[in-house]
Amino acid sequence: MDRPVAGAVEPGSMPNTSSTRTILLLGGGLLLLLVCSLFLGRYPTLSLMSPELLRTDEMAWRLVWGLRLPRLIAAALVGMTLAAAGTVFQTIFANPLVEPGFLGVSPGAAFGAAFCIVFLGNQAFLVQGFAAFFAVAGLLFSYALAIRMRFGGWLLRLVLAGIAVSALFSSALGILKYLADPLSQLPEITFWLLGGLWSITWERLLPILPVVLLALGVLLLMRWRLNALGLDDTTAFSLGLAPARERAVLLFAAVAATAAVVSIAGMIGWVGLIVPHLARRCFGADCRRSMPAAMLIGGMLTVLCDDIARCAMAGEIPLGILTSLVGAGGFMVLMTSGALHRAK
Amino acid sequence: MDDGLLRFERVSFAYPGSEREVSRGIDLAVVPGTVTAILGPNGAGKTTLLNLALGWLQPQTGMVRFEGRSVAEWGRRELGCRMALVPQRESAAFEHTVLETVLLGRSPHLGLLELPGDRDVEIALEAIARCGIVSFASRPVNCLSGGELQMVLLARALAQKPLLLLLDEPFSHLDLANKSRLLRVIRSLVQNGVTIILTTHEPEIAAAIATHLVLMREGQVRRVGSLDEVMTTPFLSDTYGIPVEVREVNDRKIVLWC
Repeated sequence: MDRPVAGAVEPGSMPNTSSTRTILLLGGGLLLLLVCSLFLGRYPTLSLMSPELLRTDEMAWRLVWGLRLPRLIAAALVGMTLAAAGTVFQTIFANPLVEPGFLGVSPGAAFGAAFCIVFLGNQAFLVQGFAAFFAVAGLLFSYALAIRMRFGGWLLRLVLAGIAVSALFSSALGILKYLADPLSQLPEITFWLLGGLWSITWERLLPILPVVLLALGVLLLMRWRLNALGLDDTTAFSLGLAPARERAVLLFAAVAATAAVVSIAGMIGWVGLIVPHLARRCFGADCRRSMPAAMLIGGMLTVLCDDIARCAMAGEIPLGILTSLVGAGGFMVLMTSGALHRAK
Repeated sequence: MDDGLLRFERVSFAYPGSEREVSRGIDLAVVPGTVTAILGPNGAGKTTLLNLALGWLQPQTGMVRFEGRSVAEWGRRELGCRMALVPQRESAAFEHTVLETVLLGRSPHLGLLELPGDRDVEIALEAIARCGIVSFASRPVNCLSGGELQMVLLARALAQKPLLLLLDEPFSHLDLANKSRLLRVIRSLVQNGVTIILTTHEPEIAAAIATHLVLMREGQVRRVGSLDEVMTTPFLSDTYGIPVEVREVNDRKIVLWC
């Protein structure tokens, strides 16, 4: 049965080496963007700082090392995580409309942050802790609800449970906003919900770093496997996979990383939804290529938006507004551009 | 000790929370190198039988053995290298190409974190060639017709290099030309030593390809045996619950019904 078939290998069907090169280029692009962004900013006026200044000016060194570097690393990680998690969610749920926060994670984090601001005060560490805690709580609640639900298949139940739990947290958030002091607490809540990285320091970044890097590593390493996990349960099983267990590992890694980045950055909209689409459009649906591509594009998008957020105006523009603006705009262009349409 | 590649021993199965047994006391042995067609009306439990063979469903009583060992005891990957399934239909959410889809058939041969290599691509391309779909190997699967997709799913299963191939209603979405093409591919597989089990509700298909026949109705196996023994007017009438007549035309059995 091993009869080799001569002439079956046609050039166009081999794994594409040119797209591998493009992905490497993207990686180089992200690094370059990070280095440039490190020297870009208001010091004291908007300019590209000379690297020479780092040796002579101690304030400049502290600014770049102590504030800009952790902030830029955070920006890149936020984008990479949301895009990678978005790819995982969309592939496993075989649904192009889901994004990483939808299993109760994002509304949970928002509720946690608002709860902390209203009842315990606006200390960055505490808000971060509460956001992370309630993000995970939102996920566990969705999961527990999906298990008990007496309707539909497993993935449909997870989606429905995610929607219900998200709605619950959103209404609880509404109550908190209603209770909040309109002069001090409400603006804090609103600002947190709009998302931003202005308060990132090494002290806030380092605690989430192990979780995020580990999770991103798992998602990257299991990227080919992910393709098969989007198939029907029975089919995935017949291909030698343990679909339930392997999906759980990937979803858990994606959600843990998402909860971690949301806890430091607040609500960063659209990256997790749009970037996976963009990566698939440019590099094909196979996660071998679309996963690393999504990570790099996501990282570049958030770093770029964060640059605009901190440089465009004297005051800081919330990052979430910019990512939504760029994301939604990009989405409209992407979905209406005829040249790239391949599917029916 | 064992005269079958796959054996069902007094297997009964009911879905959790349901009283109705969709498989009742099934005894069956599939001999290597044969084509077994599971024939029966809709809802007879044909697909359930395949899922039991696969180990996806576990029987409440009895046991399914593959190569003498309980299916439940096989490692997932081990079994995936020996037994493959062609599902009835599949909906693709994204634009994976045919080659990417077929390549997934290499999953059981690769570790959890392993990526497919050149050898795997070669095997996938062989499977694609064998199914006669080379001309659209780089097209996205969600642009294919039902017949084309069926061949892609078959190619993916062949990339697993299985000893036993399970096909769930493989002919139900195909036109005559595609049916004939699939029959040819199945025959060539059998010549190469692959054992085949397929479900169908069309007796003519079974007559055209099968060496053995299993007649099912309401979760029970009514008759098992060689095609000539089982494909008879009384047995088929009993299975379908309506009068049917088996005739032979040019050495081929056809079924008349109304």
